Amino acid sequence: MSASVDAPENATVDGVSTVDGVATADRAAATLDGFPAPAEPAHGVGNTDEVRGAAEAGYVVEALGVRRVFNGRAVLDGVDLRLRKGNFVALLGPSGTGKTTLLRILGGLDTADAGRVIVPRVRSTVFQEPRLIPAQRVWRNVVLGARRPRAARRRATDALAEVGIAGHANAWPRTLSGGEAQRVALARALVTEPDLLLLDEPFAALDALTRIRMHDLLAALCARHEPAVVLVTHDVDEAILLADRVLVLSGGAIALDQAVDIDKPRNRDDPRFLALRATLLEQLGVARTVGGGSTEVAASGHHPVDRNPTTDLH
Amino acid sequence: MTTITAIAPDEKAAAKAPLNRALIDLSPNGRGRVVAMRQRIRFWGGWTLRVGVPMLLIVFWQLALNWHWTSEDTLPSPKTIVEAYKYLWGNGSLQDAIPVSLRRAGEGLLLGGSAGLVIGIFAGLWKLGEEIFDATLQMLRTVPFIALVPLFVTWFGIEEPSKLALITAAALFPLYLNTFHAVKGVDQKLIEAGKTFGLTGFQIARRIIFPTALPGILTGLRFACSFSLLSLVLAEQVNATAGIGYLIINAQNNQRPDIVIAGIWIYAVLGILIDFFMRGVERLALPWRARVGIG
Ligand SMILES: Nc1ncnc2c1ncn2[C@@H]1O[C@H](COP(=O)(O)OP(=O)(O)OP(=O)(O)O)[C@@H](O)[C@H]1O
Ligand SMILES: [Mg+2]
Repeated sequence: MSASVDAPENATVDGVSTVDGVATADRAAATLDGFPAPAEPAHGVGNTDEVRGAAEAGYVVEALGVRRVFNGRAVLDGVDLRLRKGNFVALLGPSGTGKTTLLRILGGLDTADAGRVIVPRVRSTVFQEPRLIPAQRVWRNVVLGARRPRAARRRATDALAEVGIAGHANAWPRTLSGGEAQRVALARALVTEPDLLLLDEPFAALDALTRIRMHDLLAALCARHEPAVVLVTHDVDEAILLADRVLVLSGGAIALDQAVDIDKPRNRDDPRFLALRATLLEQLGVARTVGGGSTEVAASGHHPVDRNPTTDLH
Repeated sequence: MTTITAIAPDEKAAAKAPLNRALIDLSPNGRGRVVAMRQRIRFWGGWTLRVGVPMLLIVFWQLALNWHWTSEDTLPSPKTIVEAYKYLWGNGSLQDAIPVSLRRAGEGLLLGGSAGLVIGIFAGLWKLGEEIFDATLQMLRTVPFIALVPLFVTWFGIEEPSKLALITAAALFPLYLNTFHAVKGVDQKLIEAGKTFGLTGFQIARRIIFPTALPGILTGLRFACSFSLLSLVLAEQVNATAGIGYLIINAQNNQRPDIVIAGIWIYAVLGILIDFFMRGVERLALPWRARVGIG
């Protein structure tokens, strides 16, 4: 799996060192600022060398040296991330390390202060909360991004059927349960057939049972639609179950980039699963290993950061 | 014996008190149930109060006359007022007056209301609009529009234009303020969600902001309606040659309190009709809103 993706260390050597930070920041802004201008070219036919280069190399996401400063504090400082079509990465990291910030930059909701950010034009996001429009019926919410929602009604009902709540197409969002609303949000994100799917702790508010169902659902939908996926989560098991690569964000950069070489469907009792979980928990600064169940990363202030983790792994 | 009885109730109370304080019976026939009780209070309270209080007032009014607390010359009886309506209808002045007044209020409402709506949307959606209009309108808003009467008379004369101007001004502000706040107050998170799906600014406004802001806009419309009625009454006090206000002023000059009261009643009924109408509009336009209240 990791063979299809450059390790960030390599990427740094390839691209970033040759690129002047401020100038690329402008270009990155140009890639994202037009959002949501319809005239923006589809990815791969961009107007800058950077966009063309990324497309030719087969990347759908190329974020290099991403820096974001809040109140004089660099929350992100040199994040490198490259994704190809169908790559599923999980992003772990203690609370407040900038996972959401990175996702917002990739989604076009925020602009990096420096670095290069090249993303597909068609992308969608599932937030921690469903963020449905209360004044629109469920099916209208699903086709929120469609050019002509009425004409897309069929697609909305299909997408709702895919996530297993076709019966609620005509309901108002207020009447949905938390899990149902989150499934609507997932349907809404997938109905546009995005090239990049950004998930910010989408299942954090769900009960364990619904969460397991949603994992299966997400895995199946991603296998079918093949978007590049970035999943932010605090649940190490969730990350290992779903992702091809697990990244740990720490100290403003990707501190660990670990391929998950376990055959799907993955079993929590698999020794490789357990080994990987132990590695990740250690990386996250959580010493104990909890048997069974899912293991949440505690939002502790203390987490030893290994900036060159590859030596520790394998 | 005495010691025992002195202690026993205390123990009892100690055992009972936390229970009484901690538990509440919410079963359908229990005493603590909230929803059913409230519904019943709202239903009976609503209807008895809504119908009962005016009825009582009318009865009291008639009794006050019967008991000679006041005279027919000061306060004509309800019966006399019904007679006044018959008289006004008979000579055709009622049929002439009501459309004239409704038209005045309607035109002012349409003009001022749409201006308020458009400016409110503009200022709510664009920073530029807010900078241009908001400070100015917030400042003007503090001027009671009644104070504008002399100014409008000097500007537009005492004929129709000054009446229209007053009603327009009265309708503009409530709709502006409520629209502006409703549009600005739309949850930023929803707008972000729209942005991630690549919606254009126009699409975000149409699909997310307006539907979500509609309750606030309708509140503004409701206020604009009552304000235009209020300013109608005021405008018609100044040199009216037609309309309900003209009827009232004329009757006042002719010492006909029955017709004066009849005219005031028309205003009141108009107010009630507006309220009724707006309730219907809100019910139709906002089916997605939970009707939750605190009593
Ligand atoms: N708009 C902002 N203005 C100022 N500071 C911000 C802003 N957004 C984020 N931050 C800061 O950046 C840091 C990273 O925030 P972010 O939301 O990305 O964390 P996170 O990794 O998603 O954490 P969590 O796991 O708790 O969701 C936090 O310290 C936060 O206070
Ligand atoms: Mg976050």
